[in-house]
Amino acid sequence: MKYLVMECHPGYVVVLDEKGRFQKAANLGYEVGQSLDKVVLMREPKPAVPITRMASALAAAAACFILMFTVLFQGPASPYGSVYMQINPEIRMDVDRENQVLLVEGVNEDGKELVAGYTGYENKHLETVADELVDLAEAMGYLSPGGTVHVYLDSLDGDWATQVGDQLNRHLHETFTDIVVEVDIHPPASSEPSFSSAPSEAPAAEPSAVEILIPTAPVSKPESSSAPVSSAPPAVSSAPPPVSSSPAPSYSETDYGMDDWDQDDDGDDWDDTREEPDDDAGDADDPDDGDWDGPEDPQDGVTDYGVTSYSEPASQPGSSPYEPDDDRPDNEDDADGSDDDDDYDDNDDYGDDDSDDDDE
Amino acid sequence: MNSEHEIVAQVYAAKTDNRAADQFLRQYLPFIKSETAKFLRRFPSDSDDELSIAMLAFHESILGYQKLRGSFLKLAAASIRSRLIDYYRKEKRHSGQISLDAAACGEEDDRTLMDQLDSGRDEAGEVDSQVSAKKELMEFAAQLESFGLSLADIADNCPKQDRTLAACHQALQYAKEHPSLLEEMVQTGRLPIGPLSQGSGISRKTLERHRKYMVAILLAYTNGFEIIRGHLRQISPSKGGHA
Repeated sequence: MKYLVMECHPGYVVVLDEKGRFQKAANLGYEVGQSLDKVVLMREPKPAVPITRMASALAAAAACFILMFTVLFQGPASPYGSVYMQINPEIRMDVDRENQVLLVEGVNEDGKELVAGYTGYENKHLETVADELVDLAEAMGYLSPGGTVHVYLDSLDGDWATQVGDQLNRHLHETFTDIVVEVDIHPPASSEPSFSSAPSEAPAAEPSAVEILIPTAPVSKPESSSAPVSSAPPAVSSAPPPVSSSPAPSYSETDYGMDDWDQDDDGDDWDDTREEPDDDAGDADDPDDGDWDGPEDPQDGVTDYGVTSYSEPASQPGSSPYEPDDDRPDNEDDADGSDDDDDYDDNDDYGDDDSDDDDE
Repeated sequence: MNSEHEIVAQVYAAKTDNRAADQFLRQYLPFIKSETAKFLRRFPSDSDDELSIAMLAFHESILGYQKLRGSFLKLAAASIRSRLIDYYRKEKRHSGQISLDAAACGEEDDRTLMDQLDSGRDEAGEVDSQVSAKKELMEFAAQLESFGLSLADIADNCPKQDRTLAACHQALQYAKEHPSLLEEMVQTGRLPIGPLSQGSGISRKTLERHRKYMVAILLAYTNGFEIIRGHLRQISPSKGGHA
């Protein structure tokens, strides 16, 4: 094959072969008009190139599709967020982006009991379901007037958690005047087994957990409503009067009782940690808190803090929500073990607590 | 040196515009030389084949470069290196150690060894024909330019597959048999695709896709381009044997 050099460029020459092909080749010092026996032809860029682009576009499209499907067709197990309600019984409501409830599950024993007969909630709005559950809890005796409901939100979307937490807080507050609602946002790092398990169910289980603590103490904590994002949800802690969602973020410290209480009431755990403003708070170990209910209420979970020992109505805003709380700290202090027991056993403990008020 | 961004822009411009490609290469000739030097372990002179190979590799990189794949210069460097290795291997097999382009000792007029070789060809005669070929080709290029085409463009547009090439030649054959079409093309400055397609039975799409090539090859069969036609003796199916 002979090649006729047609044109010279700095980097190549254009040659014409005998078969009528015009091609680019290396310019090894050629001149136009030269006839060559051998040339170094330029290689075509790999056709794979456009294909690669297409392939990556296809891959991207496929990935989008998959993502879309995952998002759109989320099974019940993949809600947009979860709302935990803990009185003493703790339940979890999985909701979708529109705050329609996808699933309601009891997280602890009492919680399971609470929701045992509760059906037909799918696609009801979160607030409706929350209302219904609070009503149910009251009806079943888990929640007493002045009691606290601790609400904890969990989602990948922190804004959602804050927003929904606030909304729910307000709503519950308005709807149930005799209970205290406390909202907390806290990363689902609670030691509560129930908590930890719950978040894992939601794919989005994320740091933005809002806990709403609804103190069942007679004193309604005004702070609770304003406490989104603050204290760590004591999850299960014996909900000592949720004094303010303040402090107690130390979930980690709170052993909610895993150790302390053998009781079932996880609920008890809450408050301890929370409230203690005066205390060093964070004594999460108040598992004892839970005990408080003991005396009065059959339901452990319901921390009737106020009910028994304090005569204060739940509606006492401002006052330290539960005196018991105040006490609690003390209790806690004491309780390193022994006290706890006391708490469980009788109201008297509360009484003691009262005395503790002085401490405040 | 340009920023990466500028380089990418230049590369993409050079992909489709042969003149821009030439300019881009000239701008980066030092780079090409230095990459070649890495391979040769000495600085290349302009007559070094390796440098030419490297420049070809640079052009190949331009065509093959994709933005998403990273730095162009890296690709170019890799391409140069790989091409040089290939060339070296191939050449080593055939030739002796000396480059035929190396200056022949004792010659004052820059003749290379190659020049001194007695290849058994009529070199003087060849030079003559080369000169006239050059003239003809310059004319050819000029006429192509009146069509708005450059030879480099045509090389880009040339059918790669034999099948397509054959189809184009079929259309050419038809045109050769109907010289009025050729004249029409020269006069109108446009390729008469319609009649060509109908007459030759080749689809319009194919002819459209290789429009530039078609113009060039048809032009070669108009008056004045005997040398080119002589060269293309293998095209015409009707011509048997050597022209």
